[in-house]
Amino acid sequence: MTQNLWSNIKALQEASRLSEAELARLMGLEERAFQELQRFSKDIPLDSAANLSKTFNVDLGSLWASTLDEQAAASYFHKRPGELPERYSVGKFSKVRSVINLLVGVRQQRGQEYVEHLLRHSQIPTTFFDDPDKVINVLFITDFTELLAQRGWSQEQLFSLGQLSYQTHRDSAFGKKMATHKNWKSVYEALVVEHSSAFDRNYDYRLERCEDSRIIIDAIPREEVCEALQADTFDTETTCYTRMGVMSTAACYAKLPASQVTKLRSVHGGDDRNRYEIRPSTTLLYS
Amino acid sequence: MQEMKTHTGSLFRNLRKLFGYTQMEMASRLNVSQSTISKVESEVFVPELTLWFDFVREFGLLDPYCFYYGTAELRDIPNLFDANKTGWHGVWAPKHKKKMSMTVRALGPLLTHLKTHAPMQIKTLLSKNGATPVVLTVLNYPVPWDVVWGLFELSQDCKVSFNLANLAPQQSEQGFIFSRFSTMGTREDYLEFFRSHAGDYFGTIKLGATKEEVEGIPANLKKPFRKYLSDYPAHIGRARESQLIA
Repeated sequence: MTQNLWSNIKALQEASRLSEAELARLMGLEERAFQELQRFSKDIPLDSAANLSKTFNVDLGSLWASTLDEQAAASYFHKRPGELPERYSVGKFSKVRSVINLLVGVRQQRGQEYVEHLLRHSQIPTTFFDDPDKVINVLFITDFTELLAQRGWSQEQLFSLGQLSYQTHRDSAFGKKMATHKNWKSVYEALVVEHSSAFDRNYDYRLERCEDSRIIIDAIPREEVCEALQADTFDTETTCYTRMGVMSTAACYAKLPASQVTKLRSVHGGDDRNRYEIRPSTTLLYS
Repeated sequence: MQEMKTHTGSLFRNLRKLFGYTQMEMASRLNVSQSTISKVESEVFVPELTLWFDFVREFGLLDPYCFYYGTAELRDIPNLFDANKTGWHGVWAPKHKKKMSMTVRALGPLLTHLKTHAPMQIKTLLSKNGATPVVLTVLNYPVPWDVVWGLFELSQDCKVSFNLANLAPQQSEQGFIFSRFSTMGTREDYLEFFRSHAGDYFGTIKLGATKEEVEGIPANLKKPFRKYLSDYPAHIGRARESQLIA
């Protein structure tokens, strides 16, 4: 394990073009102590690991994993925050604005520092999310929500993060267009038929049934995205809950209570599509 | 550096005590010497990375970065109830199953103020209820409702003032008390909401509780908080649960 750790430290050093003395200083170690630890592939103190994690924007756990992207770490170190890690650079169909609700929600509940720690897992700096029109692939939201679940976030909490979508979009051009619809049925029709590409270009959305008291929406992963990611599917249970939250609060654009959402089918459960049943609710979330 | 020594030392010490281990038992679980555990707990040095992750895994800590805070969330709280020891967990566990509770995280600002103004009184209150202060290290630990109200009484006795102005900075740093209202909006929305409603922390607690929880408060405890218990908005609190049908 410590051999992996030292090969990662070496890779970070080389990618960032740092001398041993410079890297030792960044880790808070004397150069001699650094050399001693390296020579015998010894473990490093937690504070040195924390310094590395912060300096290169890498997750603590990834310091001894084979998944560390040293080029992304070097970009961060040299203040080139626009460069995404390779994992998130292909098949970029998601605008940053579509994940801002998650970041806002996590920050509200756990604070900014917690968000920064989570983002280190993906090696993406927080400043990347300052521009809502930047693009990223769907794997980011997948990884981020999976990580939240690992950290103990429940289905209900993931759903509530999705529900923050209304808060983060209501003043945007998309939100203003949605707000022109004044009844429950038409707001969902508009969401699927007219605006689905504005909030999610990774799925094809279809209106399977549209009644006054019940709407059924299908979300089918787009082949183009699968091909770009070279994956059969990218759908996960955790992203499904956040998506259900987004759908729930679409009613809020028409000044109505957030809707009830039931999952009927799911790609991650083995079906060919995600299918959601949406019903109006009388419970006010926003007033 | 010193802060990290303090936080890791306190986490090692408090969680070991919470689970009822001796330093020797903990050392054996983490595959290190007793002297290493002793030195981490005494804040002589910070643990090495591997030892830290072994500790995180062994105790089920949810956030490996909790050494920045000195408090932690545990993956499996009920395991504490099953610990093969007698002590506080044996006393609180049955109560927890029958009664409503609030987490240590939600009580964060109140506890922070009380730790400064009335540390001994907290210890006495917890002790009367079969608990030790180490439980306050675990942010997702459920504190029984009557103990919660005991803490509020204590805050009144100590004349500790809670208003949004002095709670807001903590909230923004650690995301403490508003987590139960995550669907309501931005922090500014919360502040505005509470200013126009109860306007203080008691109001926050009231709104965070369910109707049943509020009704379950003993009459003698209700009296000092009467003004906060009127107009309970039933639609808030559990609204989210009624909307997610997974």
